[in-house]
Amino acid sequence: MEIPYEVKPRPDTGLWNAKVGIWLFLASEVMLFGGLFSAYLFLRLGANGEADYFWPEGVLSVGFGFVNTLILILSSVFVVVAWLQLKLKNFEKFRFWMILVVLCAAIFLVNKGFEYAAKFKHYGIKLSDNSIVEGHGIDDTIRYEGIKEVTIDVARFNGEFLKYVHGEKPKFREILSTDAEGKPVLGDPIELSEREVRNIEDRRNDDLRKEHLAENDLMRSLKAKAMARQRLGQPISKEQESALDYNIIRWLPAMGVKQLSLVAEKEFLIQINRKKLRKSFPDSVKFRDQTSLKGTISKLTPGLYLEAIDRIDLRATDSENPETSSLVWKYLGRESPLKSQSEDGSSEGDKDHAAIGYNEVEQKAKDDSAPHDPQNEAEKAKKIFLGLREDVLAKAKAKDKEAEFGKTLNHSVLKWKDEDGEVLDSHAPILVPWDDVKLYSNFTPKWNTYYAIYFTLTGLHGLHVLLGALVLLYFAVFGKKLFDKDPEHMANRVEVGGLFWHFVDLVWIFLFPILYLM
Amino acid sequence: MGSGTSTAESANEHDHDDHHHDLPFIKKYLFSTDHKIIGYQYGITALIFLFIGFYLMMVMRWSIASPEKPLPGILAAFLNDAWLNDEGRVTGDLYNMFGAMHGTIMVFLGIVPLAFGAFGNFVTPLQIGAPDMAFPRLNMASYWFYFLGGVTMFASFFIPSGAAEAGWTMYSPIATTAQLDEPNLWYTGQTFWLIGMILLISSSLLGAVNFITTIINLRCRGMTWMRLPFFVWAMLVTGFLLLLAFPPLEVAALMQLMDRLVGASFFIPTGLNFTGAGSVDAGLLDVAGGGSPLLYQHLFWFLAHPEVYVLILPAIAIVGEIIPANIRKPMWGYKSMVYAVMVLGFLAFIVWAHHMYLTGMGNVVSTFFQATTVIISIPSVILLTCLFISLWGGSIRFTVPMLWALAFLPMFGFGGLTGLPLAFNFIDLHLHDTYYVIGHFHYIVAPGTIFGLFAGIYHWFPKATGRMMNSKLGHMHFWPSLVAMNGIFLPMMIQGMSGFHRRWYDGGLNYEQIAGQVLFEKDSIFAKLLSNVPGIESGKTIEMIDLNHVMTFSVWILLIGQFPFIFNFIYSIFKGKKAESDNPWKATTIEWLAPNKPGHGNFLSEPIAYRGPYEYSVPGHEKDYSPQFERGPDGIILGEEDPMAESEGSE
Amino acid sequence: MADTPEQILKDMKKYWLIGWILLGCTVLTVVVAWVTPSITIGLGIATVKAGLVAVIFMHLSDEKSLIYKVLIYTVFFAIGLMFLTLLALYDPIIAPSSRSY
Repeated sequence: MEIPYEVKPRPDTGLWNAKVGIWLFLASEVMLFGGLFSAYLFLRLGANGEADYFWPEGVLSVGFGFVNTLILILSSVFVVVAWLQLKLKNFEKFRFWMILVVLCAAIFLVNKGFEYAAKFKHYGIKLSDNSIVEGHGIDDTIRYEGIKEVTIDVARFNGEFLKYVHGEKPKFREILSTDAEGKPVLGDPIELSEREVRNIEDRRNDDLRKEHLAENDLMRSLKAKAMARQRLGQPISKEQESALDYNIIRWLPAMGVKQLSLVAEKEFLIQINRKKLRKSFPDSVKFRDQTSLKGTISKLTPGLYLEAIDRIDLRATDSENPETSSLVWKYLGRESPLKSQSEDGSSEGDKDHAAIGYNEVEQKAKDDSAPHDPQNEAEKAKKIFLGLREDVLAKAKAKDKEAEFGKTLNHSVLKWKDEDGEVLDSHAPILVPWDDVKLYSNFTPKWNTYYAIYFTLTGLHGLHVLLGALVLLYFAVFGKKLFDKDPEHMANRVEVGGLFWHFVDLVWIFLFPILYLM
Repeated sequence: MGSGTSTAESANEHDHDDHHHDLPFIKKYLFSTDHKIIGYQYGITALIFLFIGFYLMMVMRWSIASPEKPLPGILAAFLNDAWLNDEGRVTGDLYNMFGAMHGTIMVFLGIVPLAFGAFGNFVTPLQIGAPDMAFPRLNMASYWFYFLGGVTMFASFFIPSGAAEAGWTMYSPIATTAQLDEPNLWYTGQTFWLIGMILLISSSLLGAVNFITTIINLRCRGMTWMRLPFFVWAMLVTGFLLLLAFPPLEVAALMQLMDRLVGASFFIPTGLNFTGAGSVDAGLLDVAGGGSPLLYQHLFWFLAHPEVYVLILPAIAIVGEIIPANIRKPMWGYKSMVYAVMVLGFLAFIVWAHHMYLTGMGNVVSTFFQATTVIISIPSVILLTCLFISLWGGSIRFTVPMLWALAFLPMFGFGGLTGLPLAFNFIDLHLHDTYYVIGHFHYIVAPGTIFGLFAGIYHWFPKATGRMMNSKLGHMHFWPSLVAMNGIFLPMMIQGMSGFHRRWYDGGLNYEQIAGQVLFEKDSIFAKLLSNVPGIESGKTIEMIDLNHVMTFSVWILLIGQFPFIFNFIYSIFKGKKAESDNPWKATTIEWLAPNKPGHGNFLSEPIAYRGPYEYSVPGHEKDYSPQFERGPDGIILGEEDPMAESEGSE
Repeated sequence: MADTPEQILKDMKKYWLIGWILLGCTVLTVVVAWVTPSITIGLGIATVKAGLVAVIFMHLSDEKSLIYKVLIYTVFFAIGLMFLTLLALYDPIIAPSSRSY
């Protein structure tokens, strides 16, 4: 059986099947990217109404985007050239141009990869007054000492916290019950593992169920007795009377043990990146599987450390007078946490967390790379930032365009140049106490809606590039057979592949200005 | 050329496609590229999902009618014990989960695949005289995407978190924050739902591309646009609805997935304070904020309103095929129906925000959407009116498919008319999220679409299997279903108007002011009548809440009513009465030219359309039907001079 | 589109020309954005470029009417989608208090 109009166009519509198909598919793609563009528009216009969020502009590297645009446009030309060569029945030339297209796609994707990688290494911190600092080199290690008590959620436990125990893993004792004086009765020491927890769960549930069933049996017999006596008109005891109302309750898994409390044989400490935790408190931490650790003596490390600040954004800050009172100035330029913070009397936000040098090796390695004077750099950064701000504000006022002030400032800050034209090459570090960290993240979708839509749009587009390139590569490598059999069919296929490729190019043509330039 | 008189037997003897029968089982039935086999696959899978959805609904209805009684063993047998509370009653969580999944399964896994996937696949190429779909392998991929999506959805019941539970609309932020206390967010019902949805959408997109291409390019000789059966027109419009409406939902699902898994905040506003009861994550969410829940609702309803027409158009189309064949006269107003369905396909895209009147939209926008919503009822009414007027003066054969089709008309009409009040902002403020909305919607899809689909099954069964379905069993299926459907959905209207909310898992037990409104006085005849319903004490005043028992009782009748169908369906495949010819209903469209149980390639000889689709009782003809494939008495092709000459047509 | 070799070679020249124009437009966009970050100009140039790709590379200049119909239908709704913002943000019941600097 043969499907009609696979190669030759149908006379009345003038189209062959795959051509109708690809245009319909592209129509749905228009709606797909249309939906995303619409979301972009929505988020962008909506953002400017929010009091604490400004749409970031011009934060991507134009170079990458520019080169990628050129490459995609070139590849689009190559595709049509390849197709025309095929129509000229010149398969070798077709193959040459097609391979060039695939190479372009590869360069595009590699470029994209570099761009993504840079985003993952770039961090931002939103402080509790909504001011934002961005930079490189984060240290979000948290260290808890003197941990003894562990509470685990039996159903969810996955043993994650054991990975972060420093040194030898301690043995744990199960808290079975408490005695009359309120002291815990402990079980035998065990090596904690997921399997061990399952064993304990089974054992305990068995006990609980037996208890439950025994009670049910007891009540049932009491009830039977009571009913019998009632029928005979005999008096019944109080106990039996209460049994009369008793409904047999069936055993449910949900009645089983839910939480286990354990005590470590000896105190231990964990060191972990804050990100991996679900919640942290001054004296306890909670993991994603809801295991919670509690220490008797605990130390929260001083705060979140960002090594090199390259951008400060005070537009959304709550501070009355951002030039002087923003939390950024308070924490900027603090020397690396190698030095005790207690010398600095002015710091108030981190009273609870007595700072002690931690993670020394790592910090030293970072500092060795460029000997710099953080305090001095901070001064300079502040000067430049504030100078720029005043400068831009004055200009905006002169032009009566105060509304555009935010946008222009944002544009200028990136350059980090002071009035004398001196460019800041090594940037100040910042150490923000945990209490003042509202949100921190690398420049991934979590950081703000701009990066969210950036990753979604370019990721989806990248996927299209990848799939399109694979299909075109297939044509170039395995197309000879079909070409020899039916060159027109082959040309049709390449035309369809080419249409898809042009569409991918077309989407990028819009992505470039809206994400990189505006 | 034979005009369809060869019997199924002789057709099979022909065996025009010998090699086809040599295909191994897997290629022939599992990874088939034959549109009919794929249609069967869609149909069987969708019917199974319909029954799963039905089961979920029964559990919910039990909880609504008898919140204080444990779930009966027959329903609890399929359940994980841990989901019920210690007295074996349905919990609110379970109700939410089942509510969300009932909607999802019925709409996306049951009705759309059955209507569009199964009937579309089986009937469309046959009716336009094509050997297969334009892209057979794409067609297979489409089914397997659907299957994977279905498996993903169904599997989510069996993971520790349970299935999705944020309503079938999955509004953010509740859907984004639901099940957030699981250690692995990939392994939650909400995430499974989103992934399943992306697979289902991909399936629908592939299907839509395939259908439209087939209809545009694979029509047989002489099958000009205005000779297309109405079914094909409806499929074309449905295809466009799916093609253009689904991508925005794919975007929404993708963005919600980003929100859940990587902490983006597309749909999470700034400073959202999350107080999931007892959750460890109570407090501010660790996300940036800056998004908008409204964005999700817009994207969702941009799909979901056209989706409603995806649900109903195939059913109207099936009924539109069955009615002319059973009244032995042409369809009244074929052209108006075609234009109406095209207008419907256009307007369906610009009415979506009438689902969102309560989100705080201002006067301008809601006026616009009120206007478009009222306008869209015009083409719907045209369709229904044409079908009704067709009946006038016909010699109606009350065959089983015709019964379903006839029942469809008033049921769909009722569902449609009860929708009109909802189109108005000010009335919707009162009725929003009440059982009135549920009743309105279900009147369209349950006694509406599903009746249409049943009609289709009875109608095309002989073409697919070569055997007729038993008509006595068909009656036993039809009458209880008709009564029970109304028993379920009519009381919803009454309850809804008195303010019953759709998410009450206890059916209003804790809302005395609403639940206790008197419906019938103690001694009225209706009260006496209703006191026969199990669960309602006799001799008491009937209150609003008592209607719950009526509905739940009807559900059981509906269930019992389906057994004759299941039996009939399976029995008739193997043992049913043989169809007397390839055209047992004496219908006119081209699928009846193909032999029963058509082989690969469908037709024994090239089909040519000589005339319009519904030429019944043409004056001066011997028979009371003149099939499209039948050459005129004088031997010339009727209609245009050259069948291939005409071009242009749709949109 | 004629399929004679001469015609194809002529087409090839046209495609290269359009390719260079597109590259030029890209440079222009960047320069304009550097001089004055204007959304209108940026999107305007992008639309012109996209139009060239669609009309020339995707042969929309010479296509069957059926495809135009499908595309017009699609683009209409795609533009409709862009109005989501307008519907959601610019017609609230209560005007949000705006913040200025």
